[in-house]
Amino acid sequence: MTAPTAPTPAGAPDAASDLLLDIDGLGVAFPSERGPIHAVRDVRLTLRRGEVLAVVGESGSGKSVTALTLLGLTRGRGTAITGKAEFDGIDLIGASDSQLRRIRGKRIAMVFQDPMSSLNPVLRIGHQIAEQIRAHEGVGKAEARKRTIDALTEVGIPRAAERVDAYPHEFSGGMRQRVMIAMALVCGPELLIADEPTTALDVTVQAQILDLILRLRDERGMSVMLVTHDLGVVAETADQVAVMYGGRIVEQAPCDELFADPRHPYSWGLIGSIPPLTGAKPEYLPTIAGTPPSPLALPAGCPFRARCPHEFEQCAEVPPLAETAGAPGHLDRCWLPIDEKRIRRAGADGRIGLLHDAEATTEESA
Amino acid sequence: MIGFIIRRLASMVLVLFAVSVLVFAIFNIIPGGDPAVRMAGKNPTDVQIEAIRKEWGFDKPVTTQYAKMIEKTFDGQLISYSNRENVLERIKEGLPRTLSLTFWSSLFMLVGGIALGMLSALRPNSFADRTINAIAVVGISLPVFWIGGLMSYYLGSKAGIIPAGGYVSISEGGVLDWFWHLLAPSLAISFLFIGIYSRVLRGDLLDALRADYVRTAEAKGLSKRRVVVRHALRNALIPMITLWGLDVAITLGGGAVLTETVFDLDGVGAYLADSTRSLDVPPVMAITLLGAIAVVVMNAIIDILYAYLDPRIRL
Repeated sequence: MTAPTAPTPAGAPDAASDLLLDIDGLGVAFPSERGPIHAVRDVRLTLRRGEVLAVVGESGSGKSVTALTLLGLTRGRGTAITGKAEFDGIDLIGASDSQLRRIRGKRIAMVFQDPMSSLNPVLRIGHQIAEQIRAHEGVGKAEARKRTIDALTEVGIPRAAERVDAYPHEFSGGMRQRVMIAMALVCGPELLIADEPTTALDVTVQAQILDLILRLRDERGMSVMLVTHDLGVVAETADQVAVMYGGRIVEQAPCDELFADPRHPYSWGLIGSIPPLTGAKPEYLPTIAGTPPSPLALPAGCPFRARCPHEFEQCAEVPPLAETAGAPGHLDRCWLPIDEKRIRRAGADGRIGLLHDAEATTEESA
Repeated sequence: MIGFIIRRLASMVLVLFAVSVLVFAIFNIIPGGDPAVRMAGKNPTDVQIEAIRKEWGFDKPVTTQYAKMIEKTFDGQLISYSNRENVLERIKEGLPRTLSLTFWSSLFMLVGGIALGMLSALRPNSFADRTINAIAVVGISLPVFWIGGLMSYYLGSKAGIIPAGGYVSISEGGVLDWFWHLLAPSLAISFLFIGIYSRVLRGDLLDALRADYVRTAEAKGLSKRRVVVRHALRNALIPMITLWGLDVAITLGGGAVLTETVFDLDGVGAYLADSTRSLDVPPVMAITLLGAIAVVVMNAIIDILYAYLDPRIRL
């Protein structure tokens, strides 16, 4: 345990006081009949004020569980949560339920994936937002209602003063997600966790919702943790990116850096599977061969081992999440030497499952 | 709303017609169903029987007899075959007793079902949940005449803790005595239904507690109580309320035949039992129709309650 740190002296802001979220060694294991399911292992993430952090990965990679754990929403009988997650100096793992309750919705707010099922179908939306205000602040009904209408107006819901009394089923999907965002932001949180906020929406609405989140981030200096599997969304919005696979972070970098110089073979696969807008269209869209591992039977060593065409002996051991030379803040979890990665990646072009093709191209370019 | 009422009234007419035809047909088909023979007493002559047939109209075509009976039912002129008393007057006497029994038993069912169902669902597979499950299974398995009989005999006649039976109206004995006489019979009816409701609510509440909107409510920082009551319970109550409404209607329509008999309450249900035993069609017809009306009306009330509980439902 570290000694309690003295509060940063006022007027001397440094990097540490900028730090809002500090996660280190976070692990989450759910009980099951066939033993614990390690959904998240050894996750290390930091998020500074005003920053957008994207957590990327496919289904089952542990990204949503990481997000839910921050709010204590994965707590339950037999769930083992280990490691550290500090929010503005508050220990979120050790906090009591009532301590967490005061943070939820007030300082950390969350927007979920499916706006169709995330709002209570039998309660008016205005009531659902107002009850959150009243849970955290000692304001009267009239005041809470007024602020609810303001919040709905701010997220672009037309005629908010009338719509406040409508039920969720009277809204479209995009409008419901706006309601969810209004709800999340109504108490002025410092951190917004958005768990695939645009997955259930169609493309034009997706863009509107992302613009809305970014605009509110700019206006309020709020931090955003964006959980997604959509690299297009990441490229547009994120400052920092963490790529998760099999419950672990496999690569972490500033956004531009990740797209310009991806280090982990899984990241190559993800980026390579985006169809190109220019140049020759590939006949088949590149995919990552195989399927994600079952969290019940993760391979020993590197979690991506079984699908990785570049696997070699050392992969039997879990590589550390390490910074490779020359790029501070760019970490990855792969044993390949940096030069080797660059050579192999040049040929991989996303077709990561096609080892022989990749090797052939590598030889040509070498 | 007006459309809803009209539709429900139309369906009530259909239900009443079907039920009354059924009751009438059954009593005309079963052996020993000829009321004239029974009314003529022991060793009657054919002439006597024939005279009764003529007097009561049993010689008319079945359809005419049916029409006449329905007409009399709604006129209030229906006469019992066995003792010639006015059926509707007799039902009016029994109704306050049955209503009182329905009131307390439906209250016990609702409160008991919700309380035990919530206790179970909030701590699934805990000791409390398993105990409640065991009690529910026992409650569902106990026949009401048996548990009622035990209560009446051991707690009533033997120990003298509660009255063994009988009914005391509010005007006779005050609210307390009225309740005291209804406590045991209401509980006897409720055991079964509390068992069923607690199981139904447990399942629905567990589903609701896993729903996305409950996670949203938790993420908002609401208190546990508010999350459970306001967000989960309200959605989970709908199926249980449906069952409850129908069971209340059945008790109300004289369905508590066994309980009313065991506890000597002499309400509509007991009257129905007596009349059926003596194959006395007019009271059976009237009480069956009353039951059908209770079910249809209660159904309509439940539907209105639905629309209140779930705004997506349109009447």
